[in-house]
Amino acid sequence: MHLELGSFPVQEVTFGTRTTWRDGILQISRSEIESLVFADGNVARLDIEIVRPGDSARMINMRDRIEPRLKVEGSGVIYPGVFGRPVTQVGSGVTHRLSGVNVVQCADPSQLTSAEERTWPPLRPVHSFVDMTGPGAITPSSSVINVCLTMEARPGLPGEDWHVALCSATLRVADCIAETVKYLTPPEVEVFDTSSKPGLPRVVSIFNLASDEWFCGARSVLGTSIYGQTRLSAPWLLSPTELMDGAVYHSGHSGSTATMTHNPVVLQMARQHGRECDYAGVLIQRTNWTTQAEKEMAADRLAYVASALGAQGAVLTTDIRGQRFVETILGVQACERIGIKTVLLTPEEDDEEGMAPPLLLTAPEVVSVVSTGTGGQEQPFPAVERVTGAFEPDSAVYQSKPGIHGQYAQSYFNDIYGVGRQGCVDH
Amino acid sequence: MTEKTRVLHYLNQFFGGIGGEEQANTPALVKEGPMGPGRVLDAALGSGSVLATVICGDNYVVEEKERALEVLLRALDKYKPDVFVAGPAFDAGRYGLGCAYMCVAAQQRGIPAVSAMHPDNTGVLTFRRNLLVIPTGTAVSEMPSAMARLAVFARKLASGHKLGPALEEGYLPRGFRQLVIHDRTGAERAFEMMMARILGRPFVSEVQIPQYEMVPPARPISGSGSTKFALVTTGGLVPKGNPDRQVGGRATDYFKYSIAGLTELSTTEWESVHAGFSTTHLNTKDPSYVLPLPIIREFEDRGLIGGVHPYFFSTTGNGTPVTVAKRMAESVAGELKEAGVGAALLVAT
Repeated sequence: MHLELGSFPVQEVTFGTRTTWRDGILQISRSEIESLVFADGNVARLDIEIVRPGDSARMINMRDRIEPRLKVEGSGVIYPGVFGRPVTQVGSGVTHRLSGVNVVQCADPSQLTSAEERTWPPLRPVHSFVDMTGPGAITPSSSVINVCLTMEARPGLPGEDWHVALCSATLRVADCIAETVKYLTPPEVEVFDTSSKPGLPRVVSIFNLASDEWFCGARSVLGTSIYGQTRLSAPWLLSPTELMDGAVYHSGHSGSTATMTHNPVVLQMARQHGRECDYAGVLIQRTNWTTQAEKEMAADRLAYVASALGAQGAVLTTDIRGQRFVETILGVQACERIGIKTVLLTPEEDDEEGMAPPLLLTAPEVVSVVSTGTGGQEQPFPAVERVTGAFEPDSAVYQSKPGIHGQYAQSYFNDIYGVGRQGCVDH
Repeated sequence: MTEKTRVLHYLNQFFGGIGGEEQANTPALVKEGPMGPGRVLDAALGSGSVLATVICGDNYVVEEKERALEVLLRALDKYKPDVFVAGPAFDAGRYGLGCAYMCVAAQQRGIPAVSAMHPDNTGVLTFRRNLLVIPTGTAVSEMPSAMARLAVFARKLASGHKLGPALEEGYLPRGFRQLVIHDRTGAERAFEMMMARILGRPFVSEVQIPQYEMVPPARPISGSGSTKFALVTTGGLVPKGNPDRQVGGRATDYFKYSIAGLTELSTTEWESVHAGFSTTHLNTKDPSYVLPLPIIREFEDRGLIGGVHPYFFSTTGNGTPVTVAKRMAESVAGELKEAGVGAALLVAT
């Protein structure tokens, strides 16, 4: 595939009468955003705030962040297959993006009437909070301008409808912002040609992405999807350019859609394609198989596809821990056993003051690991002047917060794909 | 020349010049100045640095640990060293253990300590977390290089130097992990490590295969017909309504509930609060999914087992730190033992 990715940098976002991009300044129209969000009648309440790097601001209830992108040439639409969008294959032609800006979806699941649904992982916020300044300004959100949409859905919606209402409203806003650069010439263009480059080491990236089918059911839209498909399924092969066009929509758990479209592992490999390596593509392994036998079978299928692609090396990631980590390690083992040099890129566990090992599980085949740290931020988070993501934030939310040590399910920034420079070393 | 590093050194009876295995029961004693290989250390640090040498037999230090340590503590009080150096012990197990005992005791007195031995030495394996150890091989011919490295560490410790990562400083990882900021992103480092492996270039994994504590499986029960069984679950099973407010994840407590007289569990009286797996089947159809009471009662009726403990133990196994899990497990095991239970069926989730 051949994709020209045109970037329109955004240095400032302001409110104005029309939604336009000009010379790095994105102007957004409040009324236009409001009419888009309220268009289907499923969102009852909205706050729009612009949150910039360095602001004394804290975003809470963040469920996803989206980079505004648009297909200008080539088949399909950006973010294909979700919420009724066409499933036509993407990844070729010309795509425009606004770089340095995210549309952020914030909503409080306590609005849900079902107590059970309030605890569903794909409905919960992905971060408890994100700070734009101070020691907490280490997440990808802290280095972009955030158009933060705080929303409340029409009361009484069941969990899945609530999710669809919020996500589709966010996408409508992102689409509208992306439309501003449809007919403009991008200041920066990066070309990705995925045709094979014989003679260079052949490599793949492998992303373990949990499926929530086990409790949401086969037809649910909840959880991470590929072309809208959330099911627990056999390994998927995607072109890196398909991810750049939003083929993986990452909602819930510890990811975000923007992390998948602008994925550090994909970009690293795609940029080295034809230079240092021959990048065969992205393999996505859905996890949450039930039995050990199923997990082993799935790992073998993964390794078989990687070897059929001729892969000599792989970078493998994992998006949730627990039993999914068993599947992750089985994947490393299966790949290594058939000769694929597999680097596990992963956050690690709390060492419990030297009492616990850094990985939940390991195996003799796990010989090359890159650690992105425990997700902790030990320094305290200072008080902030502004809180976004809730309509009436509790006064306690503004106050300083103690540092987060970083351990299972208690991290500040769980860096799945190695976007940051933090890590852990032995002492 | 800067001020000399004041060192108290520890050797076993062999390196201390007393004798071989036949002298392994030699009680701890103190000699002025460096002894045997200690002279290499003394030379490396500047003559006169090693103030005295504690020497002890390999058997004595293990069998009469407390008395051996008394000798060490008196020597520490007398010589007031900046740093305590033990060994190198190479792969000698009792010697390594002796070095570890001495180092830990010196550290407790506020004196920094360092030893050198093979990574598989019992001293390392037993005291990894509390011990600063420089890795050596198994050959005594490595003595000069090991001593040279010990001298470097002795100087660093004496000057109050805060030790950096194990890999950079050259000591054995103690099991602690510390947050660092690298020059390059995780994705860049992962790509480079992968390319290095493909091209056969050197690379260093950021997580070495860690030491996991292995739990040997229990031996099969002989005479199960006379053995009392207990049921333990990590499935978050609680009486309906969750009276003890058990949590769905990161549990720190377990609870015990009576199953006396019960032959099965009903969804009107029991539920799971576990938040890490689908509880739909359990909570709407059959709680025995995480507590197989009917089958164990059947075994009891048929005389295959010697009874069922009237209480089952329940926690939520979901994101529980290792240390917390151990504490709960030890407490449950203790209670079961006291109640004369001979076998436990643990349903993991």
